[in-house]
Amino acid sequence: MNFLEILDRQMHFVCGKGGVGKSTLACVLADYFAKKGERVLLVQINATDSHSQLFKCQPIGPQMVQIGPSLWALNAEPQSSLDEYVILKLRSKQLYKVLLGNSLARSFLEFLPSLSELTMIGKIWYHAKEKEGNEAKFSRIVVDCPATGHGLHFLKVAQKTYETIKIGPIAHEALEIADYIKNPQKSAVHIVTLPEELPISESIDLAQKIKEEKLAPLGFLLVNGVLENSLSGHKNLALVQKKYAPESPEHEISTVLMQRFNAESEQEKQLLRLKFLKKLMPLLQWPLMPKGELAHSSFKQLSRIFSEQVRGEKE
Amino acid sequence: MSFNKRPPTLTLSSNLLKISPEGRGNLHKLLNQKRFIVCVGSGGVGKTTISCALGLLAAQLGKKTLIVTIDPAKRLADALGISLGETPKALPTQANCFAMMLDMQHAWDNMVMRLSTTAEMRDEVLQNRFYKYLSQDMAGSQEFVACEALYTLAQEHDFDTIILDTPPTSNALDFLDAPKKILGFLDQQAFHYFLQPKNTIMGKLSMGFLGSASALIHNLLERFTGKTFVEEFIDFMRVLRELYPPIIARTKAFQQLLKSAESSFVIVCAAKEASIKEASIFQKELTTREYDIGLIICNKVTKNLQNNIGQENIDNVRKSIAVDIEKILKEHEVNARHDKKLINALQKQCAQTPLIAVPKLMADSNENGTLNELLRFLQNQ
Repeated sequence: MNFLEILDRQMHFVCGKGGVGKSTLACVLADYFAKKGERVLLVQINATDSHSQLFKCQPIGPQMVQIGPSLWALNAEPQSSLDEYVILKLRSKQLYKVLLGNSLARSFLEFLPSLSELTMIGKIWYHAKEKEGNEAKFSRIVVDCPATGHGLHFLKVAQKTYETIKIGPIAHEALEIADYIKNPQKSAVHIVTLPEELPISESIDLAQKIKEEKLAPLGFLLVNGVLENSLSGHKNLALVQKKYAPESPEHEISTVLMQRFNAESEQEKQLLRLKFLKKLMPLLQWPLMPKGELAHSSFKQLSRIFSEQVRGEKE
Repeated sequence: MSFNKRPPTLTLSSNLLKISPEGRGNLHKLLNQKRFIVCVGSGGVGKTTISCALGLLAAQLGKKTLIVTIDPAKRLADALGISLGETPKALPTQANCFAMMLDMQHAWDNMVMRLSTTAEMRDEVLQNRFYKYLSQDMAGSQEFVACEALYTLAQEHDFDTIILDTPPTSNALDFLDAPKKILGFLDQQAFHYFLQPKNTIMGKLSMGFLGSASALIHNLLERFTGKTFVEEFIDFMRVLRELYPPIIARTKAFQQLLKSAESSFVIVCAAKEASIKEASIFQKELTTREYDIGLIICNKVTKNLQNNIGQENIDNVRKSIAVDIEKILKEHEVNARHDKKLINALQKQCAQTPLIAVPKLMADSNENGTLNELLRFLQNQ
């Protein structure tokens, strides 16, 4: 599975635990495509907008906005997605008011297996189908999925809805969406993780579930926050520390070194667990950015690193 | 030489060691005074490990303690020396201490079984496909049932202290809002339309539940999902209606429990921007809603070095370890400075709540080592 081939699809889902750099990758990907001249839509799913600070633009809400020469963004919202969907289906704002004015009917709609999530992914799919002349309006759509548990749920919702309801317009559309997400020509799911135990366990779990349930084609795996190996091989640190008096500066220095060594060893151990997953998904690694650095500045650096990594593959 | 496959890993005795001269600190106060302690915070901050440490410390103080975990990594179970089940099990390594794991689906099923008045009702609910959604997928369902389980455990057992670990919700406020969401769903004014049993004429005219625009609305709903689906939904609401009063009563009871003088929340976060921000928001919310917050515990904090490090010191160490020591120390310093800023900001924003900053521990690769180290640190708090 070749990296460039994976990138050459319309839909890119970015999944991972909260806090691992998922949004950063989504933005880096969108930025990369936009700079290549693709017409890109970058989507957040009912998130506390984290993209606008990376692009230094106005906060991004449910209304689509243009944030760059070839880049549009939106933060899909369940309620307005649901409203839009109902109006679209009923073809009448009047009928919509009747339906949603009735509290029980409204709660029924809210209760349908994740109808609001379905309408959000439906909205994305709608934009994927949109044409401008003969071409797709958006040649690339990058979706920043909800953090892991919900991410999988989000990928599954179309399939699940179809299986639950089976007939009617919602079921029919759900099936179309599910088929689109599954299509290896159209879509890819990228996973972001950290070189730490729980994120790696969850990533392996996520990838396996996606594969077993045939939800979508797997894309690449990004390990973020990788420590540089400065101390590998230096196993004698504890011995060195013993030479110094407990409260002395030298003792403290060696404590810091030992903590670093432990962190690097743990990282190595965790990266080894990716052995199996690496066979399914090409691997990318991003370095740990210094703490306290502005998000926008880290974003710029990581964008550069990503472009180099992609170019590297070209050769 | 005999060697246990899983040797006891906790090396601390039941005596509390080296109490600081000022007397017991905030942590001890919390453990002495509160019966129910709920640990909240996002996933990945070390919440489960902290919950276990709090439980062990409470037990060391002489309290008969139960630790209820939601999502423990297997190695945590190893560190505790047992395999966790769904009922309280005594820990071999700490007197007075028990632990168990909460399975969400079973907790829901148990609640339904407990509250159903007939076997028929119970089965009707458990087998309904909407029930699956309610118990698994609906927002707030995990948090709701964790609270309910806490209440049940408090009723059925005689523990002095119960520590509840919570699901790693991405939005910590889900925990507080969960009962409202679930109840909001159940609490429909139109419920009284279901007073009519299924097979009466009035029952058959259940379309009436939708009010005067009923036929139109029924028709509209069917356009979305088909006739059968709407009818099944009506059936589910009818069945739920019977369970509704006991669920409401129970929910009110555990909400009261969480607000009582016996309960307190511990907010766990990590030394990362997003986590700190969330902890602060959560502290405000809990305070606004008049819940007691015993502590904020910030994990994995890089602390400043105690000594002044000079070139001479670095050179001394360099003689034995040929690495770029300056670079590593510099990174450490940047991290420590950053973390200090975060902690200070958090302390300022949450002035009414005591804050404990747990340093990055040495034994990070080894769960039972971590637990021991954590206990040693917390004992002095």
